Amino acid sequence: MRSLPQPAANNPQQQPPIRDVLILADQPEIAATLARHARCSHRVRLEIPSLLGDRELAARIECSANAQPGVIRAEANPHSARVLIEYAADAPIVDELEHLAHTTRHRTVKRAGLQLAVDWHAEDSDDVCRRLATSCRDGLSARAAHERLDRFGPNVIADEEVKSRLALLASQLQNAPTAMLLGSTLISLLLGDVLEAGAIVTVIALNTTIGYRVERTSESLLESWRATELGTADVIRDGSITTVPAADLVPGDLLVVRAGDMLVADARVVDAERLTVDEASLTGESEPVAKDAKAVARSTMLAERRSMLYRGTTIASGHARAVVVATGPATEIASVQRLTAQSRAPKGRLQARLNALGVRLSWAGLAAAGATALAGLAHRRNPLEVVRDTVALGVAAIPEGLPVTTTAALVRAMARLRSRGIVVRRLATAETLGAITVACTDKTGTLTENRMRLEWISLLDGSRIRRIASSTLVANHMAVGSITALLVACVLNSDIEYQRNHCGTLELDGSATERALVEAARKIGIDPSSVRTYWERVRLIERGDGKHYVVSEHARGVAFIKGAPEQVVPLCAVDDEVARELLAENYALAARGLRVLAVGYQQITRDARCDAGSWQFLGFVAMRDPLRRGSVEALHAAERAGIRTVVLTGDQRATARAIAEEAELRGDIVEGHELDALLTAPDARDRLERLAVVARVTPAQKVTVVEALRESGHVVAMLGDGINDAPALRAADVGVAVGAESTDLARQTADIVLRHPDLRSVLEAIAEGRAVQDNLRRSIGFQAAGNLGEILLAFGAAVLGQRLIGSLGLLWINLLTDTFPGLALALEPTRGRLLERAPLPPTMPILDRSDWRRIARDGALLAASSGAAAIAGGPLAAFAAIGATQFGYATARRSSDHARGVQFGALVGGSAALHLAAVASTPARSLLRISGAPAIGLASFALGFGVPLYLGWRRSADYKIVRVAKESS
Amino acid sequence: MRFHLPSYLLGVATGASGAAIVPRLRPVVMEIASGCYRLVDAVTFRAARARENFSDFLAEAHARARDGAQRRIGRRERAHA
Repeated sequence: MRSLPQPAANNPQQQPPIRDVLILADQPEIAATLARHARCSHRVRLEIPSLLGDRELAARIECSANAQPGVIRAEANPHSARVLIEYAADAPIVDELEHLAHTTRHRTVKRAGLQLAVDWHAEDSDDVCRRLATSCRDGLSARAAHERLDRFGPNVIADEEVKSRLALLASQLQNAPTAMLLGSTLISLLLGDVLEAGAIVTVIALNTTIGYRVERTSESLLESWRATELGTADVIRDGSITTVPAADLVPGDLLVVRAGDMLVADARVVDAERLTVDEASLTGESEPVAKDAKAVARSTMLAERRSMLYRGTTIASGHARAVVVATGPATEIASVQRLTAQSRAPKGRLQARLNALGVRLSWAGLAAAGATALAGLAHRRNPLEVVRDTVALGVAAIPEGLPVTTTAALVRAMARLRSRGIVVRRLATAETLGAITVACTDKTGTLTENRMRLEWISLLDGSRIRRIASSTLVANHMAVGSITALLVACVLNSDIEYQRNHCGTLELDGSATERALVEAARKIGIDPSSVRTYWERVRLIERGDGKHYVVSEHARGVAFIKGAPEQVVPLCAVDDEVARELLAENYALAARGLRVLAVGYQQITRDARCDAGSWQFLGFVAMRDPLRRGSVEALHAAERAGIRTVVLTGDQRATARAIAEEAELRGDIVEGHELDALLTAPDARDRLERLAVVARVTPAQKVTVVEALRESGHVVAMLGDGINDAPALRAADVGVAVGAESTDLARQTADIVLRHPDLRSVLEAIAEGRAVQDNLRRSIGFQAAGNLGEILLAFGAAVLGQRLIGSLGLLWINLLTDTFPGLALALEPTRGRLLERAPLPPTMPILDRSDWRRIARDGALLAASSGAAAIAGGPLAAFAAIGATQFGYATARRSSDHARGVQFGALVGGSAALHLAAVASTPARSLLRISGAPAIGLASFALGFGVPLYLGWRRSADYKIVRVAKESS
Repeated sequence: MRFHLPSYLLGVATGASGAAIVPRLRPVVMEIASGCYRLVDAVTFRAARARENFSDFLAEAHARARDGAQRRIGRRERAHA
């Protein structure tokens, strides 16, 4: 056999371009790799993963391949996903196969064929569009996009880490309490007690089934989040900017991306403006990488392909148009699956602490069972019987329902919130919600609607300031040169994307502020496209930390500045008196809650200068962004719930003060640059507690505020929607992206996403978090006290040389009293009173000393009640009472403001009914080996159920939470 | 036939519990059935691959043998010439 030439794998530039496998000419989307090529026998085998099990595709491939010149026989096997081709010695296919041997064998090709064929980064952008049969200007037609969606499938990546059902089921057995129960089953089997073993297995099966169902719900909730996680993308189809679900993107779509967008497909840049991309999630590069439309060498490494945009990365600045070249599993990120891995739920603090508590309680229970065994042996009881009872008591003492209860409570909270349009991305977040003490909120787009509207224009008429209401602006204002100059400057300085659709209407895409200014310019007859063409922009210098203005340099020797009046006015050539008047005008406008920007221009020969007096003042533009409906009510409700609100805004102090007054916020207002002084002052903690608004704040300062609040012991939620909020969203205990329209980066960073931009829904989430905390405390307290009662009863009897309840009886009680009532307490919905108290202190343990005291007291009382019943009525009375007291105790521990629902009644009532049936039924009694008169058993049951209610545990249980909350507030 | 209440109740209870349990068992049955299909597919896949590998091996061996014979004939003819 003639050996194939070795490929130049280390230098891909020397390789010829990869072309489609010619035999698959009618199926360009099919990937194929060369599996084997024997020149001497003129046979080649190609491997085509998508062929597996697809007979129809096999027939098409055979048909297509057999039609190729020189092919003697082609055979596609859907069972092996391979194609055999036998060819003639002089067939033209030989060269192609030689070439394939060079390229595909040493290159793992797992992509769709369209992407397989080309190194897009090395192609000219026009060639890219031509190859993908799309237009660099108008994009695809809607019909073509639809056809391609059918052909290539949706733009989603299957999560490979989703557990199978069997794995999920098996994971339910992997916790300490269940392992101990399995050990007990083994001991029972060794002793020949099949019935006991069966009873323990029933307990395990019950918990496993419930745990499995809970985990499945959790997985499906997280899965449904992943489906919505991608959000939408702006594409140009049929010449118009259209927002489509990201899952519907297809190769050939013309993407419109701008700062803050999370890329949802791999794309080739065709047109870029100051574009930088954060590719850390793909390449690990921490600094944003500049991108443009120029082709790069074929051999360029992934991290250096300036002409390419990759799924999972984020636009850091600028904007661009790019043609989608790979979607779904064909994208680069698909192989690493980092994004989906990030969204998998980490185990929360509460879950970890509860698991540790469960292990400790299990060991304590086993130790108590051991002590009971020793007492039995001291009374010279039959050792085998003692071992049996010890195993049963050990099983009864293990809180096997604890892990299930915790997860179920968190998942239920997640599901309840989801039904209200609140998407919780991580299970652990549900527990943190209840502990929130401070909510930091962005202003624009969060408190306000982010729908700017130009209200006033202030012009300098000589040394006099003229204020013009925007409502009076009409088309003939073009005649007023100063207004035209001001708005033309705003248009040229803006970073707005224009697209004229087929109807001739100009569509604008950009920030709300700049859209408002461009709309105002259009209102007086300025054509944004024309002025931008005439004064073509050369450079744009963005605002940075501490610099609150934007400078744009244009052709024909002119530059414009637009930004914060207190920074721009000192740069303008006006005398001091006029400057003071201008700043006074700025404050007057800002005091009305308006966002004010100063605009100026400069004649330039090279770069624009930003020295004092180097700019000509053009005027002020003042815009209003109305408060969202319900914002004020939400802030009031938060205050009543003991949650302090801190507003973080980029606006100046006067605007921030006006907004704070409108929102009725009380507290100190500081500016971002004053934060360092505030945080290093001796009374920093007190001043931080009084902080209500931070004006002129930068993204870094938002993080500083959040971290300072966390360090002072608060649990902080950050509410935001923009790119500038993302670092603070990540830094906070709970990041909340407000609205489905929030930027991709904000949604990707946040722990919770509100579908509707209504701040009141945040309070619903907090209430749900508090309900989870309270319910879990009640449930754990119940389980611990109930198990203690069972242990004390058995231990007391053993010390006195008695055997009240046999092993099967104990297992029966454990089956009914552990998991079902615990779940009923953990899942109970509560009414709205949770927001009428302060949050519990963040440092409060799950069970504090007083809780343990109460558990000890209640456990002793449960045991004493049952012991008294035993003395009065014998073993059956004890058996009836120890179960009934726990059902009564579960009822007593219910929240005083629990909502109406049948779940608690079904779980606790059903368990109680089964226990009652066991007491009343003779076959059940004989099966459980309990003797006694049924009448006495029924009386004990009734008394046992009533005792906990009578003793008023209910009152003490609820008052404790309220008391602690009051103390903390 | 005499009506026997316990048997009747047992029948009703069995039917009711069956109706309640069957939907719960569906995922498990589904898992087992899909596992069987996966097994059959995997066996078929490996068998097909093995058969193809063997076929390739035979074809290559045959081609080599044929090439060797042709070379020998060629050498002989050249020698005669």
